[in-house]
Amino acid sequence: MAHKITRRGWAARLTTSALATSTLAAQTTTAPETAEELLEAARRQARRNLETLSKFPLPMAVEPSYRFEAA
Amino acid sequence: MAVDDAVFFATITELNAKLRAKQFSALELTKAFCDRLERLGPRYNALALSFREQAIRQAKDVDDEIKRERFRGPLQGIPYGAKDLLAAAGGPTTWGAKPYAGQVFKEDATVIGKLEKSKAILCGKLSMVELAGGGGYRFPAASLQGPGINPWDRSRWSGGSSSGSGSAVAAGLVPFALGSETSGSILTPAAFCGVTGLRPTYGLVSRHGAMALSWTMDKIGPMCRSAEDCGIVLQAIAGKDTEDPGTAGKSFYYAPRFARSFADLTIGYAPVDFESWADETARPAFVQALGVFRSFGSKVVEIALPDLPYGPLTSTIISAEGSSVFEELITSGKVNELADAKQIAGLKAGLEILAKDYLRAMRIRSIVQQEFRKLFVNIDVLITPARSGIASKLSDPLDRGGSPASPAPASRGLRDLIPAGNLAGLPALCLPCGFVDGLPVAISLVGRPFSENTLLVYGREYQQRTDWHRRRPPV
Repeated sequence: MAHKITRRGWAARLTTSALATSTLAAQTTTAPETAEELLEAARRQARRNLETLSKFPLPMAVEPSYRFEAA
Repeated sequence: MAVDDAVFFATITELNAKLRAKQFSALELTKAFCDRLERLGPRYNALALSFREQAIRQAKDVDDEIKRERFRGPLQGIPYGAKDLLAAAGGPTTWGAKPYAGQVFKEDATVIGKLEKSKAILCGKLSMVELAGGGGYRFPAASLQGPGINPWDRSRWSGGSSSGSGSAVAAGLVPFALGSETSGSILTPAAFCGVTGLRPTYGLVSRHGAMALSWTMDKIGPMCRSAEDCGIVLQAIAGKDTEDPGTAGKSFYYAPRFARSFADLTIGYAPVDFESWADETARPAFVQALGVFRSFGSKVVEIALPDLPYGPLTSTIISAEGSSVFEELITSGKVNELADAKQIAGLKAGLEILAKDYLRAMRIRSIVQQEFRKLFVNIDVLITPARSGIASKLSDPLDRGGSPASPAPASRGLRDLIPAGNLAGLPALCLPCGFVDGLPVAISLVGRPFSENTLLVYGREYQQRTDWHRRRPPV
């Protein structure tokens, strides 16, 4: 599972722990203010997360970490 | 007999011994804690709702039992508080959020019911960050009860999202509290407030009757005065529940006497956590704590987390699940009544995450679990600073941190252990380990799934050799 860590990769890792609201550095220095700006910022963050995840090699056999159970 | 000040900072075991010895009655103890919670709770924005009437009724029942020498166990007659994310019949359960201010449930959450069976006495519901902060939030004021205020310094945050649970235990308003964690919400307030917090293995404790934020990541756990108290409370609340399909079907018995010898165990740590990632002023406290753990005789080895995208994974999974949980709130527009604008935006953006992206995250999460299984073949416990330093100021935005100019350390160490441990469903124990500028800092231990007894034995030994958990804030 060795992967090269890029600067962007580090930055993406350091931003989120959504709930504990870490005091880690934000991606931008000027914070968005209006509701629209905040929504756009949240979308950008989600896209950045997905970009990081999309670069991760994922063999077909890897199933999601929960499984359906017949009951 | 009057309840003196020392009682407000006594452990569960100490209180139980005094109750059995009839130094005071359960009624006297309960009234004293209810008075204190109602008087001081608002000072820290810790109290969501007092349960005085029900608590007094329960305390009278306990006194009747004790009079008849019918002893039920260590929690009998012990007052406690519960995060307002847990349903308790007899009052509103607000989830810390304005849109749910009038919400009333007819039945108790499973954990509240289990504690009632143990004869613990619910004195009040404790404040929390609105909706446990699922959309992300920018200010400590993101709560119906206002910002969680730290008893050690009222200009500082108590941490989130179990804010009231952290500050109420720290200030001696309740002997213990229930909190919940999806990613850091027990460990952070425990670290910032200087209390001992236990995040159980995913599935060990039922979430029936708790607000859902992420079905695959939510956990409920105790916040107490000591590791031993955490063990006592966990034993009472753990176990299978047919009402929660996420429960693992395992019970928990706090059994330190059956623990493996420290000499047979291996601790993993990353020097970079202590030398570079930790705030400079907090490093001596963390290094000193590591030294105490070294002295137990366990093998200590250097280690780093498997190289995986923990932050983006956690964010994507919580965002997708949380926005699904609150879809109706979001689409109805009521989401706009929340206090924090960033939280509103985060919840709305979460609804736009595609199924393929959520599934990709959950598949990578499987790899996280595999990698941790490999890591724990040779390691029993990971140790790292619970948070890098002290609580932030109430006025500071939570999404603006360290200087962008400061270079990141070369190695990640165990830096991302909060999101990583939550993704893998691992248990964690947070132990106060010192002070910086009058505010607590804490160390955390993380183990393999269902290894709570190992963590608690380490925690108990650490607390027998130190007294950080015994310090009291200037209430």
